[in-house]
Amino acid sequence: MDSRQREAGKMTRFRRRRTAASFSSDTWTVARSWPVVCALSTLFALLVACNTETLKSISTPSPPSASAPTENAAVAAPSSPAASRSEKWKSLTADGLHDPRSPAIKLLQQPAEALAPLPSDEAGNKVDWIAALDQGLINPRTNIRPDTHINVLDLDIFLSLNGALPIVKFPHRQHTMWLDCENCHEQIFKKKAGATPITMTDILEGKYCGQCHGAVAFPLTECNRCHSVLHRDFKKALAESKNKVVVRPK
Amino acid sequence: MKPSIIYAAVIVLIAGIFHTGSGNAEYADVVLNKRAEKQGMRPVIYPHWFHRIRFRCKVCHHELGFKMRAGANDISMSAIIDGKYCGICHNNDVAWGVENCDLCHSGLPGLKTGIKGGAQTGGPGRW
Repeated sequence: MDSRQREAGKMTRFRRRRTAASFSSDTWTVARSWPVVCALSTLFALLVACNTETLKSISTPSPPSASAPTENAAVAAPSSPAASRSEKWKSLTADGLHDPRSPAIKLLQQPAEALAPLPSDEAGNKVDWIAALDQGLINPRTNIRPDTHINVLDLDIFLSLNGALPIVKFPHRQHTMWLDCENCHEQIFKKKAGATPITMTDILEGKYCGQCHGAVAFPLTECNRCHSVLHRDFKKALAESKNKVVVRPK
Repeated sequence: MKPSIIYAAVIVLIAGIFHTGSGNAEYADVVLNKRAEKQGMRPVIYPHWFHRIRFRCKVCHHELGFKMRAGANDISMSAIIDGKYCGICHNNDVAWGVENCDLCHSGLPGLKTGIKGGAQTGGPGRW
């Protein structure tokens, strides 16, 4: 390889590095317009749907047990409301995780049995867990040890005031119903509002909110549940919130 | 501007391909198979949905100290029998005891440790 070729190679690598660097810094700045955000969300949703379907066809084991006909019957008869409800939750024998030959399969509770009576939702476990708590339909234990202090906080944080998407309203109430302060503070988020630089890129990678949302709490396809306050309704939302902190952009 | 949009689309594509997990599993089901199969047992399937009806997240992730990363907790049967991790409840007092091996060890052979059921981030499943 002569020196000119080597030089050309270096330049290509340099350009590649530059492109990668500029991409990481300005992706979300560029994506700050509604059409782009909409297009990306649609693409993402489509992909998730496609993947789920593909994976189903690939990974579903053929259950060798006698439960196979009942499974098919439940899927093939969506006319009764009970059948259409149970379709939302796969049977343990068909979930691709449980071994249909396991002696436990008849003893374990089926998701449909436990989740169907709870308030319905479109994403995640197909259950609105907060509504289930608020309506008193479930009352999960808050502690095992009698001396554990239960912290609950009613404080709304308003974030992302200048974004193209609606403003983020983070409600501590719903989060502290499930979690303790120490689950988030100070390891994931600083207690001082606005002190943690949260970006969607990081969240999609599983950092900050993405530690739970997208894995166990409602998934990241539900943009509007966090970006919930339209800019034109901001004053009204502030007035309605009892305790609040507004994070103004620097 | 245009190339950046294309890059963003590619990233979303890749994220979509790699982070959808087991399509049929219930959202947030966890497979634990660091030790189980090596020791001749089926992998453990931990269903978040079942437990959160009965316990708030803070019980396990605050009081009991379970880290919020699938695979990050060094859970062994001897620890459970000593009353740590799952053993704080699975002791025939709050929930079924450790002699009911198959109720937890109910997974298909060959499953990998991680969070399943359509997780879309690396979140707790990254390890």
